[in-house]
Amino acid sequence: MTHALASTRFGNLAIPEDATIAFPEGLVGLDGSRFALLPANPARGSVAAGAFAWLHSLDDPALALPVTRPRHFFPDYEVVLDELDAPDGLRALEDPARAEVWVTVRAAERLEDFVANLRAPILVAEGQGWQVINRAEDAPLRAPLPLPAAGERAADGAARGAAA
Amino acid sequence: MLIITRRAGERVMIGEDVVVTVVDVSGQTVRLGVEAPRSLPVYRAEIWAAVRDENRAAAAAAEAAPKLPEDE
Repeated sequence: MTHALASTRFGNLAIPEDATIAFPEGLVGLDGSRFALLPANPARGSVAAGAFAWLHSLDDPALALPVTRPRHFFPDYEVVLDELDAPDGLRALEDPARAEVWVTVRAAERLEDFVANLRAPILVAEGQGWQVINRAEDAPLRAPLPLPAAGERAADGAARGAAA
Repeated sequence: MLIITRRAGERVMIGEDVVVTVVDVSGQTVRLGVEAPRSLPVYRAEIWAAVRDENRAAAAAAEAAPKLPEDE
């Protein structure tokens, strides 16, 4: 089973049923309750491989939010939930701590201008998603992505090349 | 807007499921207790508004800069 999505941004896509995510409480201030995670370039690549992805609405073909895995950029990132903020469905999970964590980003022309919303992460597990309020102290609404210095990045690339 | 005067310890019911209790009044600060069904998210309004604005900005910025780095 696939879900046909006529994305205004990416054209016609077939979304596998198991890639769709139901947001019982929606996303704060946005319409729709069904989304899917798409690779940064939906024409190729996979969500698992990239630091970024699109959280694309299945109800609104024009609505897509760039998201990233916060720990890719902020290795110590933590999500702390207030009892009041933890949605029912999330609490019902066998192990809520194993939910996948994503945060929305404001994309820009240059990666150094991207900012991530660490205050309101999106937790995904078992085909469901919730946007929650993170009570951790160091969780700004607009956190610039820390980028490795050019030298470090080259070294990282070299190390990856060597490993491959 | 319905405006109701309440003292510490008094409550307001919203429908049958939501009870707001004035826990404490101290100077400029009022502490409220909210009892609501778990299916009803309760937010501090300014946080809700800030997250809403951020979500909308993320969606809008994506329209202006549609390319995401494919591999970091």
